[in-house]
Amino acid sequence: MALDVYITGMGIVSGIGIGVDQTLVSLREQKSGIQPLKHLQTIHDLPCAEVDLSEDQMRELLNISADEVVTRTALMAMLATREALQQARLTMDGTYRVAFIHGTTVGGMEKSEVYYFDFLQNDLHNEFIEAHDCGACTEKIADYFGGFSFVSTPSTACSSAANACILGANLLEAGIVDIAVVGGSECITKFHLNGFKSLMILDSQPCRPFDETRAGLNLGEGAAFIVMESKAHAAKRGVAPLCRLSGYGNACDAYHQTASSPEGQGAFLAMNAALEMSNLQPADVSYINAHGTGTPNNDESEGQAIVRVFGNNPPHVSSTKSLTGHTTSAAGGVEAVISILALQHKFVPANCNFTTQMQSLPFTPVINVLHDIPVQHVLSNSFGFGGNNTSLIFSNVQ
Amino acid sequence: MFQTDVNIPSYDFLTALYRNSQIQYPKFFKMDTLSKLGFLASEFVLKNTEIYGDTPNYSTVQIFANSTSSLETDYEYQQTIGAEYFPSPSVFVYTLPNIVMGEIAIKHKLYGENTFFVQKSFDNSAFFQYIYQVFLQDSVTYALVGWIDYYKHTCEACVMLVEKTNEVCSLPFTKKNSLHLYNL
Amino acid sequence: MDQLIEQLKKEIIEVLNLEDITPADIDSNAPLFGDGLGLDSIDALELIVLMEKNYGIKLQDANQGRDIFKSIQTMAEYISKHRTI
Repeated sequence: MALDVYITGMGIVSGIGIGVDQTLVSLREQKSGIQPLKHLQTIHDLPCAEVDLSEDQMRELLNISADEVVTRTALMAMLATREALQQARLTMDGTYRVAFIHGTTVGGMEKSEVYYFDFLQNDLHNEFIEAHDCGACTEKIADYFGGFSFVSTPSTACSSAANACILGANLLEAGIVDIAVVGGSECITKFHLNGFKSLMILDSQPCRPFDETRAGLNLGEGAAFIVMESKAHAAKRGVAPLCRLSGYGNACDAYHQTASSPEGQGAFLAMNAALEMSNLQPADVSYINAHGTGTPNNDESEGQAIVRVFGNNPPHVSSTKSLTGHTTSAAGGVEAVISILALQHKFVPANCNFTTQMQSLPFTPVINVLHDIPVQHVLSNSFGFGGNNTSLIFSNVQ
Repeated sequence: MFQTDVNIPSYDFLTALYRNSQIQYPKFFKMDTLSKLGFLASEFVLKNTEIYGDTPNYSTVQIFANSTSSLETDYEYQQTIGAEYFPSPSVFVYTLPNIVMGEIAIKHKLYGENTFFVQKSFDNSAFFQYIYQVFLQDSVTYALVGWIDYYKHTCEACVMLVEKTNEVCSLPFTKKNSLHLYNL
Repeated sequence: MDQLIEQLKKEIIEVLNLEDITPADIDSNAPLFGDGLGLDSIDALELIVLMEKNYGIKLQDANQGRDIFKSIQTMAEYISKHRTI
């Protein structure tokens, strides 16, 4: 039976814009948000895509006082959630059973690493100790709006937000909630910047996904959420859906803790599962928003999986991480919004910094934005460490 | 079920358990404590089932959760970027709570769906709903379900294998039964 | 050189959590990766950290490790030539 999951609102903040409108402009004009670090206080000089707002600016936008205990991850999520709720015309007044599912790994860590020695030596910032938890972060965001009947925090690394979408769809299909607000958020921290650096998968230059000379990823940060409900429920509320979630798949690569298998088995299984659920043939997909981190390993693995599913002439493929950076736990949400924008506005975003085709792949990514083309179904990939591979398919409403 | 004197460090307890169980898997020693905990608990649950072994398995899903994510390992990793700056890649790898499912999947070639939640406490109702929903898929036969928490030298692991079957069996999986098992 | 080789074996066992292996078990000329000790890509990265931490040698490119870490012997030779501490 076809999924009855329709998207009625979305919100986003990332290195390419605050809000959906700015994001759309950046995508259409191929404006990357990857640049030298501005907000994070670190000795490292690495290109990243930060959200161009200070914490103070975010607090002001949200009307949150300077002395309230809120972390950067939570602030970004609040901005994105608010935009999504507004577009969906959803007032959190308890009329409906609404789930809030927020994928994150870092949670409030950005504060913990600044106040770490204070925690040990004095009581000046102890109120931030509890804010560290992923779950506490989720609850902070949910409490800001109030009225959520179900709150959950999937934490599966870079597929967290995509898996939040799956849980949301499951809850709707099971009739446990009427509406699900799903997505993820993550801010850049020294913790994971240094961690990725120790794995030697960061590029000291702007990343080049699917390029033969690619050398690694650039970190990004952001938050993005979508509002999901059934077709009938949206109609009852008088809200026109933006698109539908027609299918999803999640599979385990079962190969290595961080590296992907050479043949991309997990990715292959996830994409096939999503196609099967959507009742689509590979040729029906208009655009693949790839995970495409720009690491030698991922792009090879994902590339092979794409060929296995779609053949030597796959649909348009691009990695928008070449614009937004890798927003880790938020990536599934950020790229869901980008996929929906592609559907709505009939364009395919570009894969920046590409010059040389990968010798091992028969296809090249889209290197300049394709405007005014038919986009019916978009497949979005998000793959996390631990071999957690998720594919989502968004489709135009019939 | 295993119980131990509270003064034995978790590291020693889990290593002792590993040796006692005669599992031959040197990669065990590379794992962080949370992954060792989940891995060992799963080994005991999966032994003597058709899932155990390296035949590719597409019909088993993994659903795990805990309350502290990977906090102990996060702390250990943080030490490596402290006063002496030598970030450890092998420790960083485990600063994600879902890696434990990856370890189990690697050993038993489990290619099915897998997800990890961070929750305040063991939520039998949420687990039940998720499993019920996932079992609606024809391709899914088993769910390896786990609550594994490790914080301040306290280990807690409750791992269950739930099978979708029409046969009458000894312990039906219900919200009440799963909570009862957790409380044992 | 022999002393360095013995020391390296001990350090590698500790840093890579090779629990059931003693220095005597490691053949100085045997391959470290692939079949040998069964080391993987993460182990290679830890060896890069070890080189810097214990011997002051900074490797910027992970690919350099492929030749240097072929065996304990090649590692020891590289370290003798380039160590700064």
